[in-house]
Amino acid sequence: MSDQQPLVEAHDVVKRFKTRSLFGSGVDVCALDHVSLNLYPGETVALIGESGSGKTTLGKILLRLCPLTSGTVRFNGVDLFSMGASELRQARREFQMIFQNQLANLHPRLTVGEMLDESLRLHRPELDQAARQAQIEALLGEVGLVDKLNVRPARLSGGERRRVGLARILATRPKLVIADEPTSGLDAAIKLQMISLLKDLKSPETTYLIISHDLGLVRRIATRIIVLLKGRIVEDFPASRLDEGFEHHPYTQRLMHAADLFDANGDRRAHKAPSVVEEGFLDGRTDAILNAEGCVYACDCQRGSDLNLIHRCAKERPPLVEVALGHRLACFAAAKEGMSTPDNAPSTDETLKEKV
Amino acid sequence: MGGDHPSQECKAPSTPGSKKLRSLPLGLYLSGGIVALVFLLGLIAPLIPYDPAAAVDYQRQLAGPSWSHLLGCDGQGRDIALRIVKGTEAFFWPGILAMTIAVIGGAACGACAGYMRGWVGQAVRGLMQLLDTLPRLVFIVLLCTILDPGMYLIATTAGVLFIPTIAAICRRKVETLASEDYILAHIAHGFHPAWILGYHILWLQCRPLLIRQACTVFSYVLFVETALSYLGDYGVQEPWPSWGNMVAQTREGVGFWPWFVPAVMIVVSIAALLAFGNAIARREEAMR
Repeated sequence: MSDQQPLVEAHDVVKRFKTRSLFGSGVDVCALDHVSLNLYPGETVALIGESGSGKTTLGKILLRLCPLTSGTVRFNGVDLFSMGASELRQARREFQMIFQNQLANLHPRLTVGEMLDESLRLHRPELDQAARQAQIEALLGEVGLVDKLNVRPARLSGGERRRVGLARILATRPKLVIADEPTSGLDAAIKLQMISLLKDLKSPETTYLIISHDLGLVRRIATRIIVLLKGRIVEDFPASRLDEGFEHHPYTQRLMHAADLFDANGDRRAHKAPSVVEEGFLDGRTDAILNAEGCVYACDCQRGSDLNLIHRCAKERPPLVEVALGHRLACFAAAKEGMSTPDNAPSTDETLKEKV
Repeated sequence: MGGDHPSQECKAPSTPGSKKLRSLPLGLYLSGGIVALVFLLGLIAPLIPYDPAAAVDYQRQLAGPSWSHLLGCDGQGRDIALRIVKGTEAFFWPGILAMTIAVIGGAACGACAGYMRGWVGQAVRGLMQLLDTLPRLVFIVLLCTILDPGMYLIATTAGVLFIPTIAAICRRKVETLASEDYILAHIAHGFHPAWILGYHILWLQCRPLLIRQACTVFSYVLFVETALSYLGDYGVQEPWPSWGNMVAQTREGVGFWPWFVPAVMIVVSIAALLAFGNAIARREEAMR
């Protein structure tokens, strides 16, 4: 996989928000703290993490929907943040985003057919009226909404709105689709339908980045999982390594325990981690102001009785290092017990440079 | 207080029968008919030849309605029906002008103020607030005393003074959609921001509100024209006809017909314009 040219390369992305208070300049909130990642053609990558960890911000930055403080994002080798306005609009056809807020994707006063027609006119100007009509019907057929051609969004259910949003995005034939919480707010049956739709409609060369804290979705669809915590990538691993009992970041383990995905012995109840599976754990908005020096998880980490390690975690930022092929991990403790030592492994920043 | 009560009752859930009755757009047809009539008169009035000096005929002074003079004649023996038709000239094109200025200016300023975050938006917002503080009628009279008074000056001023009202409506819409990620989602899809603002927001979302406001502006010009003409100093001057200066003839003690019909025309036209704007806007808003 890694010998391919990456579709998206984000290097050392930093995003700071300034919060304003009545007097003075307020606090600097670091939403993304030196994030580097590559997305390769055909992958389905899941970006998971608690609310406020910077998932959506990262998604938006990868599509240049909000400015970044520093770093670079390349799409197909072209620097996204140095493109001109019209060049960028042209390029946007290639990378699309499904927003979490479904009403943001759809215009309340346009029918489904009119909306798709508008997208096709914009992105596929070579089609004539009849061809567009045929294309609209084909797209609605793909998402199973043929009978909703002349319906306005107000009369669609939540699941149907999402499917219209998906059809609209597919109309542009994008290379990259970023889906922000594609299944939030859907009931179990519709959720499954949405997941299988996402799977079925994915062509082999399309890349998906799925932003979610629905681990059921991630489990079913992702080929790679990136865990974001307080603006830092703490782990990046192939989904196949979920099952095989590899060493993971303690935060990843906590997430997975909470979602019941690490039930190696088959007994689901017995393997919940103690005291971390309270209701709403994944929604707990943690303070985004960073402990800039040490590990972001140092305070909550239940690992290591080793005092040296605890001291190191609080003082030194663990680098994101490749512990195995395609598995990056930012943890002193896990890496120590794992397959290779972080001190010997090359830093990812260097490997990134080699790839570029 | 008493006026609020019936409208509250209307909002209460009703039986299917009364709903059906209410869905019949009687108000729309009635007000639309009157507005269409006024517009038709305004359009054909310039085509009718009218010589104010030749119209005077003291033989038929204050004559009552008859077949040759449908609404009778005024104190100088001029045909009232013809003067009412010609009187529409005084406000029709000025009204259209004010409507155009207010709607285009208001929509553009509102979109700018809502979308632009930098100093441009800030400047537009400031300008709107400044304009909004001017009392309309006083300002129009003031301008008339300084500049050469005329209906087009009055109409342009009225149009400009309505820009902040319309801009505020458009700005609220833009800001609501911006906070709902709507604009961002459509920029992400590849649309030009000007298309999103112009078509998605102003045309599709603000159209009902703009229609309502356009009717308000038109009726305001009609109101200002008749008021100033009635007062006599700045509106349409005798011998040229205007609904306002026709009503002003009451001061000369001219019986019933010469002032009654124009007065009714003023009230009915203004009411119909406002009702029409409202009815159109409501139907558009209900379209889902």
